[in-house]
Amino acid sequence: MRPDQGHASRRIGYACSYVPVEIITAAGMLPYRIVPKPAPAEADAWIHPQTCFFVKSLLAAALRGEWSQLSGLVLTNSCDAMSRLADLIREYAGDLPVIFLDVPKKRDADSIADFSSRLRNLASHLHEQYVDASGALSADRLNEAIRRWNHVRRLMAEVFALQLPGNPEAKASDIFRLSQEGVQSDPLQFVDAVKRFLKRAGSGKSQGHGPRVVVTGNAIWDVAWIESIENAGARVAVMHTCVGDRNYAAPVAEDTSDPLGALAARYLLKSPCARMMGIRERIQHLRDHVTTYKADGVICVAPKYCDFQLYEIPLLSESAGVPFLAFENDYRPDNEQMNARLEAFLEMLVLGGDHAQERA
Amino acid sequence: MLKSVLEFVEKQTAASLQQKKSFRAAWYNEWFRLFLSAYEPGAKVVYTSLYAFPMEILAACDVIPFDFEVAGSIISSTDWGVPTMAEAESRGYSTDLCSFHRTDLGALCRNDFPVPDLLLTTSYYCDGKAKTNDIVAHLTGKESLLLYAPRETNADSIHYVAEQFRQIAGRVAEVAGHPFDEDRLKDAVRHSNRSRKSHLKLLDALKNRPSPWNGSESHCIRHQRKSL
Repeated sequence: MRPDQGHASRRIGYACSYVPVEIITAAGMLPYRIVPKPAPAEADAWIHPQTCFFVKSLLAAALRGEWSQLSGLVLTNSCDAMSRLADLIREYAGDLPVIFLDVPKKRDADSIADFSSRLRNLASHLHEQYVDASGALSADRLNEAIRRWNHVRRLMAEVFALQLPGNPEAKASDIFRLSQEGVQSDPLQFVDAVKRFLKRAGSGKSQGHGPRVVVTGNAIWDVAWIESIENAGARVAVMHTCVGDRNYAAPVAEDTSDPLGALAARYLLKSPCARMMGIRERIQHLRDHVTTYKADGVICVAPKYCDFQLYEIPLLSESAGVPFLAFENDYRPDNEQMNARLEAFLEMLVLGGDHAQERA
Repeated sequence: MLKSVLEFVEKQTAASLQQKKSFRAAWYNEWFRLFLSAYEPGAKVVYTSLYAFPMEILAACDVIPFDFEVAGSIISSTDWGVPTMAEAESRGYSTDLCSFHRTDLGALCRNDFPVPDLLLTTSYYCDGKAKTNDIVAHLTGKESLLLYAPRETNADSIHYVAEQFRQIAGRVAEVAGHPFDEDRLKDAVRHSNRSRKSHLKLLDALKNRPSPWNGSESHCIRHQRKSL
C-alpha cells in the first residue's frame, strides 16, 4: 500500500481540495496536487483569454506534456472553468486519463449521500485500475488511509496553532512551504517532515510587531506572495486558502463501517471555499479567523477572472470587520504594483490601529 | 424604474393586441403582467430561473415567479443599463463579472426589484447565477435554495434530485401559505406536457417553406411556454 514516491508513474494528479486523497492512497497510489505556473497565456489558443488564470495555467502545463508521467488525473467541477478544463485535457492533452468527480455544492444530508455514491465510483475505478481488476476497495484499506491522513491533519493543526497569538512564532512562509509539500507527498513521509518542523518551531527569531493579516482566497501557490507580505513588515496570522488551513482542518471519522460516507461528510462539511453555496457561512468563517488570530486586516488573493471569488469580495470586504485588500493575480506575484498596494495597505493598518501596543 | 418600464410596455402591448393578433405583443404582455404582479402588496415572490428551473412546482403554489436575469435584460434594453451596472461596480462588483449579474445587483441596490420571499435556482445553469442568488438572499435576508443537478444520470442521482424537489416544493408551499398539493402539481405537469407537444408541432411547422411562423414569433412562443 505504500506508494513509491520517487516513481512518477505511481502518481495520480488532482487539482482541487475537494478530491479525497484518502481514496487515492488506499488504491496504493500517491495523490499529487498539480500546481499552476506563471504561463497562462500559452493556453489562450484553446480557451477564452478571460478564463481564470488557474485553469489556463493548468491547461498550458497539460499541453506542454508536463504531466505525461502521471498515471491519471482527477478533476472536479470546482467551477465551470474547471469542468471545461477536464474536457480540454481529454481532447487535446494526449493520453492522460482524466477521471471526473462530481462534487455537490451543498452540504445537506442528501448531498453527502450523493457524494458518497460518486466516491464509491471513484474508489471502484481506482481499485480496478491499480489494485485488482475484480472487487472493490475494502473498508480496511480506506480506513487505514483515513488514519494516515488524519495523522497529517492533527500534526498540521499543531503547525497552524503556531500562528495563534502568544504561541511560539513560526514564519508563515515556512508554514506555506510545508503545506505545499503536504499536497504532493506520501502521508507517511510527510508526517516525518511535519514532526521535524514542529521540533524546530519556536526556536526562530520573533517575527516582530507588524500588523497581523489573514490571507484568504483560493489557489495561492507561489510562496513569494507570503514573502512579499512578510517583507513589507506584516505578519501572516493564518492562511485561509486551498492548501492552507482549509485543506488540513477537520479530520475524517475513523474506523467506520462506511468510510466513503465518512469521507463524503468530511469533504462537504469542511470549511467551505467560494465554490460552495452559503455566503453567510463564509463570512462567519472569515470573521472567526479575524477574531481567533487577532488580525488587523485581511488580504484576499485570487487568480484573475476567478468568478466565485470576485462575486464574494464586496460582501467579505464589508463584513470582515477589519480593513480588507483584494488582489487579483496571474501567478506572477513579485511586481512593483502589487508591492506598492501592499505597502500602502499595511501603512493604513499601522496608522489606523493600535496593534503594536496590543501585541507588545 | 423597472416597474415603470414594465407598466409602459404592458399598456402598449395591450393596446396593440386590441388592434391585431401578434405573438410578440402577446408574449411581452403576458410576461410583463406577470412581473408587475410581483410588485402587488401581499404577493409571494419567488426569484427563480424561468427557463432552467421546473416551473411546474411554482405553478402548483400561489406564488409569483420572478427572474432577475430576465428583469436585468429588460433594464439593459433601456438607457438605465449602464448606470445600473455602474451602481454594482461602485459597490465593489468587478467589471469582469457577468453583465447580467452586475445589472441585477445594481438594480437590487437601487430597490428596482420586487422584494423576494424565497430564491431558487439550479446548478446546471452557470456558477454566476447560483452565486448571485446567494448574494441577493444575503442582502435581502431571505433564503436561497439550490437545486444541485448531478452530471451523471443514474438511480442515485435521480433519487438525489427527487429529494431536492420535495424539499423545494415544501418550502415554496410554506411561502405560499398552504400545504403542497400534489394534484395541482399533476395538473401543472399535464398543462406543461400539452404545451411541450404543441411547441414540437410548431417547430415541425418551421420545416415548411413558406413557414407559418417566422423566427421571432416562434422564439416568443417558446419562451412564453417556459415562463407562464
